[in-house]
Amino acid sequence: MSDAKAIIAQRVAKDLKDGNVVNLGIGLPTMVVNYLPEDVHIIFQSENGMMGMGPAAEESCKDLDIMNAGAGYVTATPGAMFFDSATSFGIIRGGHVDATVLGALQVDRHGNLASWIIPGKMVPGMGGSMDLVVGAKKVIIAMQHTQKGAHKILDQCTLPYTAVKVVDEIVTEMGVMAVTPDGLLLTEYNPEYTVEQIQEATGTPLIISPDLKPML
Amino acid sequence: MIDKVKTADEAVSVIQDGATIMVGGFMVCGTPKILIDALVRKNVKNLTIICNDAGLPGEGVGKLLSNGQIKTLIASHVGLNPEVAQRMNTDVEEDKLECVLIPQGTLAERIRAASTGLGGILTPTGVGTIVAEGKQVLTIEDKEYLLELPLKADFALIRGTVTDKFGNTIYNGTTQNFNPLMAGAAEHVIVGTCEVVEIGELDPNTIHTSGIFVDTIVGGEQ
Repeated sequence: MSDAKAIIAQRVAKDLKDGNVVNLGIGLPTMVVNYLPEDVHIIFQSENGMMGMGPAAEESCKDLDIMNAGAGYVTATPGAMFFDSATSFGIIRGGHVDATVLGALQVDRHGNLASWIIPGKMVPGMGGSMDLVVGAKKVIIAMQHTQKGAHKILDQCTLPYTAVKVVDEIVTEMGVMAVTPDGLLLTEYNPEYTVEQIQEATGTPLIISPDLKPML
Repeated sequence: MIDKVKTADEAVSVIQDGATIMVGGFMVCGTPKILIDALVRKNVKNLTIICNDAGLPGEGVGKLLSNGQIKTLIASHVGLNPEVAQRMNTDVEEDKLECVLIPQGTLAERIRAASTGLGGILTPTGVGTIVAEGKQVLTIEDKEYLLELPLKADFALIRGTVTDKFGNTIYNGTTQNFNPLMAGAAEHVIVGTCEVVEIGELDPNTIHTSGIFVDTIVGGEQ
């Protein structure tokens, strides 16, 4: 299962199109960068105030004034721009970000997302996530299918929402699901698993696409 | 011409116990460290701090937290400073921290609203979540928005890269973040800056924050 994250990142990379403006969440989503084809140029936005974010900065030549939203030192690509937080979230809420890729604690069949708080246990704060999922044109959730066997994909989230009816697609190591008005549509699967196994790991009935195909 | 240039200790001498203070920066990048250090030396207590995050333990506003100076923290993300959770859950009443979490884009806009004379802003962020509790929801062209009110402060501690003696300030890279917004949203604004230059030395095309917003300038920021 160690390569689950790699499988997820590799599959999400296929969703991103040349010229897209994309915001990647902290953690697994940042791995997506490693799987982009050479001819696909993505403009990465970092919500702390940067358009055109480049790869992580080498330790020897990092600029302490250029950081990403995960507090890592990064580079600026040619054509990059810096701005203040109001401008940055104006870009996000204004619908100028084509896609955001984020992790989640829970997602449900309605596209509701819970990702920022486990009351009484973990209260890290929502950061920019609530704005990102409301504003980005496409919301892709990239996460492991279960939490050590416990369902994360549900009929109805039980944790407080990050936002309601915002998720477009869920990518896990088991497959790809689209949020539709009828429920979650399994469009792609990882051939290491049977459809029955994927359904068993999911807390809501999956609709199996007639065009179901391997995810990679 | 008013001389705005002071030492860090002189600059924060006007800040008293119980003040509400905005602090610029995002995970310490763009936080005026010399002003935070001066506040730690002054040891004012019961502060309400408005900052994007809680910094790191012993870094940025995390230093004020470790020193027991913060009563209320208004931020969007505190997960990278475990001391926040410890202080929120402590049984020692005088150490107890109140933490108010606000979506980052809403935090920015509420500060901007205070800075720009708006009575509030309407945002789709937070609709249908616990963030909406107690807030007015307005439906405009079939879409729901939360009414979020302006957020202002007694003081703003901001960080510049270059500042002239009038207070005109330029921010390098991603140090900009909340700094220019906070500069307009507080009664009294102190800029900790890396380099102080003479008036006229900055190209007016490149200035981010006008000197009209700045009350005090402290050089020597790293």
